[in-house]
Parts: sequence; structure tokens; C-alpha cells
Amino acid sequence: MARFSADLDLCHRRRWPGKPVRLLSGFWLLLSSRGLWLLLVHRLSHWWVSRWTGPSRGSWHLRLIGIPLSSLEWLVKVFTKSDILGRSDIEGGVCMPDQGCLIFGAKKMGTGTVIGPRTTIGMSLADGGLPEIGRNVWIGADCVVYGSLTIGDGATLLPGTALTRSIPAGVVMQGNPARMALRDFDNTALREQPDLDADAYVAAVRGN
Amino acid sequence: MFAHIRADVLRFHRADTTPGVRDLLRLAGDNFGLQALFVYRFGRWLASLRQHLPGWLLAACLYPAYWLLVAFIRLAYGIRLEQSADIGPGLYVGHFGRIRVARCQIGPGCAIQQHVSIGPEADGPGPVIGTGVWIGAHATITASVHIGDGATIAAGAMVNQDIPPRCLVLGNPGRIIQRDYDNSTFL
Repeated sequence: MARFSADLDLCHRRRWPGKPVRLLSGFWLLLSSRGLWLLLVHRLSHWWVSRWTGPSRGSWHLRLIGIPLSSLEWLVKVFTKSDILGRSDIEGGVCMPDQGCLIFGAKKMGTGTVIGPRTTIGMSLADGGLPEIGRNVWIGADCVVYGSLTIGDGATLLPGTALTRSIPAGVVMQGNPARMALRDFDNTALREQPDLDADAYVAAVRGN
Repeated sequence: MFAHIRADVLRFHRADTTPGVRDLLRLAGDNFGLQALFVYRFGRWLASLRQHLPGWLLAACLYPAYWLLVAFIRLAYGIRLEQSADIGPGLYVGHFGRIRVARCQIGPGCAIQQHVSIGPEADGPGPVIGTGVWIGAHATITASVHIGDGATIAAGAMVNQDIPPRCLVLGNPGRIIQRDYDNSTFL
């Protein structure tokens, strides 16, 4: 749950910058942000999957917890139109889209990563490899990322990118198939401000 | 209808054994796409019933149930398999969310993924898709194109030209990256 409280902090910072997390605002955020529902249920089911594949597989209390958990999973799947692979290892302090339509199957994801709506991150069926996402990555809307690849820390995928190969830290990728648009880019503003127009912002940085 | 549903279930089952009742329930519970296909086949069956009078009466009684099921599939899972689409037996629908299939012909043994959009947005005859075509996530086929047997549309591709058989299409706009590409390992 320490991981989930880090998620809540990031989400709070994005919605009300500079305000401290209070009981009421945190609770309201938990009710209103569908990305947080998604993360909460993923944290619970990740714990369940890790126990289930361990030595206590098949024990009666795990089975008992599994029944309400799977119903909760179904509800969240339906309300967010999203699916997160139960065994994917997501560090604390990430942000999932509130608009939903996310299909997520990365092997690992680092802290500070922000993902946009209508994004697919998953397995390449040709070789079955899963992506690994570094820290502080910003992934825009409508992106497709698949295959056994590594996204470096602080990388940025502009909206509509289709990425199939590994990228180093701090680059900006754009287009379908993905091309490198910029190197050594600082995406802190993109991660902290959800309303920023990413294409215009990157174009402005490029122009300087 | 039942032959088509059987082919769909076998596509989802992905094993050599014949699925039992437990397998069937597990498959239908886990795969929202299979539920959507059940509803689609049911609607096609109702439409074929209307040809003679007793069938028309039965279909008139069953249509409200069909509409409710379609509304549920669309709102809960975001899958729209419309009756104007002609889908062959054994379609595989992987994942869910923002799938739209309308006014097109899809051959037997195809596979589609999440966020796929097939069918014209304005008037037009719609795309014709051959046998054993694999269509990846976020692919868009809105032009009235012909896609050959065994072609592979990679994830995120936007197809606006005719594709010969056994080609791999990638990118936006879609370009043929490789000819004679074999998709039988993951189809």
C-alpha cells in the first residue's frame, strides 16, 4: 500500500499542483479518478498473483480472497475499459489515464511514469517478449508499444507513436513507425501538467 | 449459427482437446470478445429467421433481448460487431475496448485486437478481408480495400491500399514491409 499512496500523491499533484494531500481531498480523488481505481485493483491482484504462484498456491484463504477480488477486477475492467496484466511489476508513484481504454502488459514500469488514454503496451506475438519501461517516462495518448524492448528513463512518446524497438534515456519519439524527434529532453512539465499540449510543447522546445 | 459459434469457441480454446462445459464457461467468462461474438451470431441467426412467417414471429419476440445484449456489450466492453458486417467462422477477438466492425466482409479464421476499426466511415462498399488475416491493435481499415489471404496488419497500421496475400503491413500510412510473411505462429 506504500506504492499506492505514492500513486495517490502523484495524481494529487497533477490535479491540484502545490496543495498538500488531505484526508478529504485524497478520498475525493480516490472516488473520482478512474486511473486510481485501476492501480488499486492492480496492486491487490498483483499481490494475489504473487502469492498464488508462490508456495501457498491453492490455499483456502487465497481462494476466499480471490472471489471478491475477481468481481472487483471485472467491475473496474468494465468501468475503465482497461486491462492490466496481473504479474506486471509497477513501482509506486505512477499515473494511469482517467479516460481508460488502456491495455497494459509491461514486465516492469518505473516510478514517475505517466501513461495517456487509449494506449496499448503489450507483448509481441511473434516472439512473446514484454516491454520494460524505465522511470519518469511520459507516454501520450493512442500510443502502441509492443515487443521485448526497453524504454529508457525520462523518455517521451508523443501521442500516436507506434514503438517496436528499444530507446535510450531522455529522447522524444514521434510518429508511426516511431522516429526520434529530439534528444536530451526534460519531460517534467509534461508529467506534472495533464492539460499541456504535448506536440506544441515539444515543437516549442525544438524551435529554441 | 452453431457451426460458426463452434469455430469461434475452438479459436479461443487454442488447444487440441475438445472443450468441455467447464472450458466453455471459463472461455466465455474470461474472453469478452467471445461474448460479443455470441451476441453477433445470435443477431445474424435472428436476421436469417425472418425469411418465413413463424420464424419472423419468433425473431420479433427475441429481438428486444438481442438489443439489450448488444447495448450491454457495447457499454460494458466497448465492442461493436454490427450486423452489417459479414464475419466468417472462427474470428478471434483479443482484449476489448473501442473495437468497431461494420459493413465489411471478413473471411474465416481471422484475428482482431483491441481498438481495431474496420468498415467505412462514410458511404461505400467497405473492406473485404480474406482468410487467416491477423489484424493488430489500433489498426484502422476504413477505406474500401481488399486484403489478401494470410496478410498481417501490424499494430497501429492504417491501411489505405489493396494488400496482396501474405504481406506484412506496418505504419501510418500503411506500407508493405515484407512479402511472403508467415503469420501462422501467432494467428
